[in-house]
Amino acid sequence: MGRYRRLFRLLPWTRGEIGREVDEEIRAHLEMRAADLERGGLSPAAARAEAERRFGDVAGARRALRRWGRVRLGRQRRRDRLASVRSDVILAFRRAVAAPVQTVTALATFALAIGLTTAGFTVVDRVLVRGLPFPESDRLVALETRDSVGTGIEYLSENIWLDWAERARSLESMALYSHTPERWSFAQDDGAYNIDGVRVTAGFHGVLGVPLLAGRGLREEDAVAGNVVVTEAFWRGPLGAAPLPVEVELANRRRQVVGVVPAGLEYPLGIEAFMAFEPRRRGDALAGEAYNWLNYRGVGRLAAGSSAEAASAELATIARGVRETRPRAFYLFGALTRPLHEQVVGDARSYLVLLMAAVSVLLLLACANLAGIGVARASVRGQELAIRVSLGAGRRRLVRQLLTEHLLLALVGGALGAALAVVATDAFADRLAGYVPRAEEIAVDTRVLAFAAAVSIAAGVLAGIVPALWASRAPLRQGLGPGRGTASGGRRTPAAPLVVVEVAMALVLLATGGLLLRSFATLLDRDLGYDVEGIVTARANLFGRYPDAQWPDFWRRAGEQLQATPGVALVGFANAAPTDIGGTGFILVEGRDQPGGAAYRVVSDGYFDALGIARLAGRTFAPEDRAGTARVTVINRTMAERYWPDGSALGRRVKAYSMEGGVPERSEWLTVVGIVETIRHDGHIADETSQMYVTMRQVPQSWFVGAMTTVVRGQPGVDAAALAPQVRQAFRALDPGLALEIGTLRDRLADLLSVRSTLVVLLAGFGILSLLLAALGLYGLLAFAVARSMHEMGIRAALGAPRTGLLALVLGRAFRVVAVGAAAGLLAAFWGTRLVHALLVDVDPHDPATFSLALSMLVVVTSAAAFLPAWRASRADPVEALKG
Amino acid sequence: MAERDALPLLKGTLDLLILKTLSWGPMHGYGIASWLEQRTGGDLGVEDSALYQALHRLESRDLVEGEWGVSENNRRARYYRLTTRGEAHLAAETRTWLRYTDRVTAVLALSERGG
Repeated sequence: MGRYRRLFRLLPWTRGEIGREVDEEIRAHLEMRAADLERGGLSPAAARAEAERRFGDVAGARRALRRWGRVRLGRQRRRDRLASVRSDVILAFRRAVAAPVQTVTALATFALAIGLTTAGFTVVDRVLVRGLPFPESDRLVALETRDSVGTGIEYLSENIWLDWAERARSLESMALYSHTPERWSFAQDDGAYNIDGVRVTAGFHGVLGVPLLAGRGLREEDAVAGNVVVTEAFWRGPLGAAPLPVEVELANRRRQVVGVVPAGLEYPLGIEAFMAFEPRRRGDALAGEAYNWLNYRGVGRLAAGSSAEAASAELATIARGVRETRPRAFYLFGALTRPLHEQVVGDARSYLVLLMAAVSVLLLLACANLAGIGVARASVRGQELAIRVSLGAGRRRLVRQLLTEHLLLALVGGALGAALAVVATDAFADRLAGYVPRAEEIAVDTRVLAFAAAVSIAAGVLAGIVPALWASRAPLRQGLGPGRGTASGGRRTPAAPLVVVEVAMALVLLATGGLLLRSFATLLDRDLGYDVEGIVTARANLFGRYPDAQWPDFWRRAGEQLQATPGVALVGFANAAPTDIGGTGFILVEGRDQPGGAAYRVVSDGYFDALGIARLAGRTFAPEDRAGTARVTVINRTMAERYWPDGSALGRRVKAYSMEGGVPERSEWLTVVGIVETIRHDGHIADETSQMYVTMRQVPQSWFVGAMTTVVRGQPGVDAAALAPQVRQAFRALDPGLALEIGTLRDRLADLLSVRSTLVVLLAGFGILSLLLAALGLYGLLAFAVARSMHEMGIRAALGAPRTGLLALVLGRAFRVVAVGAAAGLLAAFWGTRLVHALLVDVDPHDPATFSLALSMLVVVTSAAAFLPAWRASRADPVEALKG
Repeated sequence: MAERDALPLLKGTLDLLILKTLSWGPMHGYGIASWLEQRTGGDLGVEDSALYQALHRLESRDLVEGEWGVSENNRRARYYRLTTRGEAHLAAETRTWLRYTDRVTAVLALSERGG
């Protein structure tokens, strides 16, 4: 005992092997003891029996030993696995360092792709996925009604809201708030400026569940004084965080600030002050017309145990019940509740989804690119891999090792990408602020970082799986056969299909980007109906500042002051100029019983000329149109065509009853005296709608001229931006303390387009980026293939092949790859671009011009990428080749 | 061989005995068993199955290491040897054991209380 010769045995790896070892050990023991006992004199059979007896519980021992064996086995496996992972990582690291150019390229590609994806996710997550920042925001619903054709109407009248508030049980609380922000002048010692505010019913913030930072929420008694709740930014800023309640002069009246809303919880977006108001039942004698005065939005919180469907049904029942006794309520054909979040996000959803899709395609492209590089690298490692296999590495092990290389690059690249995302997200958030809820909150946090890590791993696997699987398949044959260790004698790699995929995806992104670009260009090209250049707008509100009798005079004097200002050519006034929030109302056309609709504008005589709106027929307003004379209106082309398609609009009569009296019986007939060109009121995105104009001197109620926008056109050659301070001066001369909003029309139009333009730029950028990546992929494929077959090329040259023939050989290969890729890409793009239909303006999703352009760009760039390797092939030296 | 009434082993003692046995060189299981029987005169009741279980337990704790070998008379058996950790463990436990028994013996050997 003591000295022995080691027996080479592989460690037991299965339970069966463990069992056999245990049995063998016990058997050896029993034999040895039996042998000793035999030497001591026992018979073999007796010795055997005695040995077993002395052993004890053989079966029990066997079981126990097997258990210990399994424990050891588990530990061994874990140790092995850890060791192999460690060696994989070290090897991957060494390989990465050994090929710095490739490594940096791969890192950069990963970083860019993962960074963009992460940035996109950050925005989408905040805006779409996480919902509103209120407690239990899934119980918050927007209250809407339906019109006769079933369209959802987001706006409510006070009346229906009051009906619902009285009778609805499925909502535990509700609130009403004005649907567009109002501009209220906030007076300070050094002047006044305007802030955005909404009027809300008592308990508004209670419904939302906003915990107030200071003070209290609005109560019913606050409506009398018109007290307000303000946002934290406003309270800390102009109010200097004064203890509440604090008195302010807001909207030309002294009121109290009674509460503060914490930052990040302002709803609606961009509102700085919330004023209490009491909703009143309006115009009950008007047969339901008052139910059409949609000036508010409603929000409610579902009662415990109630669902959105139940609430919708209940509200609809009430609405329809009201309609039965008030046949002129056009918007009470139904009702519904919608998650508030949906209403808030609205349009932004489609943009964000598109962005995310584009970024994902880019990521896939990047992975395909890297997979191609991985395949190229793997194909020159045939010898190394073959040796590994012969040393016992299973296929799985090889795959794991190759994957590790890519994963390492992906994780490091991903970390860089996350840093990139932080920067990109800030830029995104800036652009989106005001259009998208919670834009200020869009920032990278742990959730996003976790996403980045997950994407990095996915990208690493995606990029690595193709080279790993391919390289691990039959390295022996390649590695140890003829031509081993060299790059020639290679077998077909999956690199070409990868490039095909890249080309296809690049085409999809190019086409999408191109469509959006074209759509945007079409949008910009649209005729707005007026001359944009050189116009300054200034909006002022005289409510509470002057008695209403003085308002017309004020505007007249403002007009005179401005006209006398150097640089000013024309001046006009309107209750709503282009890009302002303008009212639309019901009209009654003489001879028709169904009401129509038209935007209602109160303007000065000089308005049309100031804006450059062409007069098409009849006349515009003149001094003889004043109070007491026949009431007239000027309509636009769209309205004339819609209601009098036979062209007989002049001289006909209409009533703008919902704006001017509530019901037709209480409004006057207006005679059409002129037709002007249609303008797009809300900028390039707007449709052409009916508009009717009345003169300031003939408004039925004075409040129409309380807040007006002054339109100032500069002399030819005068820049609008330079004119603005002059306009401000002119108003200041009249009333130094009047709050004014001044800007150029061009700026305001650009604002309306800012989200779209950002998207277009981004997507076009993605398109270019993807094209470059695909070209790089093609170049890599060809360069590698040519390098591998230089020998063959040389032989061909030696055999008399002309240089151009060699060139054509390589270019032909490139062409095949690009052709297949382009075909696949076209199919994918045809299918995919239908999805962006909603975002396209006047452009067919299958617009042939855009697709042709994208295709040509693809061909040009890929040809350039193919040229260098082709050229190199054509320079193959036959002498070199013949030398062997 | 008739069995006398064997002394029951205290817990942990078997492990210590095995480690000590291996401290002079590797042995297979039967070797350890017969050597211990010799040295203790059969007084300690060490059942073979208990011994093997203790051996394998020690192996799972990395105090001994086992591997298959062929003995001089061409017999295949599993040999166990002490690891570095096992050596250290043996030294420490031996010190503890000796101190323990020393103190206990000191008390039990007293003939009178005052001693």
